[in-house]
Amino acid sequence: MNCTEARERILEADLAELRETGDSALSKHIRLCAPCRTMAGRILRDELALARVLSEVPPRVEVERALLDKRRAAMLRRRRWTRLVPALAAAGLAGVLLTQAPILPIGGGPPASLPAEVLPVTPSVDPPSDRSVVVFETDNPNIVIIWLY
Amino acid sequence: MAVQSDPGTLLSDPQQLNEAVRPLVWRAQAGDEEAFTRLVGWCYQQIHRWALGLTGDPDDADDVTQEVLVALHWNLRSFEQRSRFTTWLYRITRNSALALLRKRQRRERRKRQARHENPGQTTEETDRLESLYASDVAELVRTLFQELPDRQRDVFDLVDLQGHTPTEVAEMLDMKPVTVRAHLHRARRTIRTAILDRHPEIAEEYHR
Repeated sequence: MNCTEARERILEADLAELRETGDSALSKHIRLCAPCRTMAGRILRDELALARVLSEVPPRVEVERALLDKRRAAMLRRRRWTRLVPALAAAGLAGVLLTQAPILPIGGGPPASLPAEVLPVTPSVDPPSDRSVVVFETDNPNIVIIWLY
Repeated sequence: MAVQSDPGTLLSDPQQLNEAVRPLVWRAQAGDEEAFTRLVGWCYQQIHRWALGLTGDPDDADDVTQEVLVALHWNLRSFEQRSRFTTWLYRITRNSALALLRKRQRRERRKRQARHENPGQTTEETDRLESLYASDVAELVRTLFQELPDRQRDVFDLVDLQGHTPTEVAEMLDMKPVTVRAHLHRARRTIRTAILDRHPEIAEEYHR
């Protein structure tokens, strides 16, 4: 291998080859040729310096602080979920109840099957001890929405 | 509780990091909060180092590191140990860095647009890398982050500067090993040419 070829290969060679430790033709040439050894040595030194500079940039946030912030972020996300889930459940329940209501004819008249006179009655609901209840009346006197939350 | 870490020795040996954290990963996956804290202690510097390589900016690296910790907390149970932990963690870091860079690009675009619409307004462009790396390798850092395409920079950083093998990097970046080598060779050529340009005496030595 001549120097022109070696210089060309030095530009792309693995670091182990530049360290003259390998058995490759390039390593052997570097061991024997002073100018190529200088070139390989300079590349090794500067790449090492580059690696050192980058690895010596410390995180500005201490790990303990980062963990604390992480816990806060996790707690916020969890809180968001705990608020969202009951709201979604209520919306789902309301949706189910409304879709099960009898379809009224267009024009707003009462369905033929309803009695002529219906008195609105608000049911009394006793919720379980750990829950609350809200009763919504609807336009249809046969339907009320009971929301346990 | 004090967080134990020994990043100095681990940074140079990704294999060692994998071995060290394996039992901690199992315990943290089972919900052991102390194991999670220790796991973070081992990986924190490494995540930051990856983030710095991906973003080229210490502030962004800090933000990405924070994001990764939260993502790690939420997603650790989904890690199935089919790949190495560091590979999985690197991918999370990379995704967080890319998301942040996209956000920053959008912000820059809006700023440019605002400047275009209001030419009297000026913004101070400072080269933070230059001030940070005020050393004789500043030029190399600039070449690394400004001249190399993203993929070449990632591969060069992971293989030559951080000591991962090309096979590991292929897995981390979801690339074929042959593609990794191609990027690596191109990146080395650019960086090494920049090194030699700074030392004209080396070229002169050949003509003596």
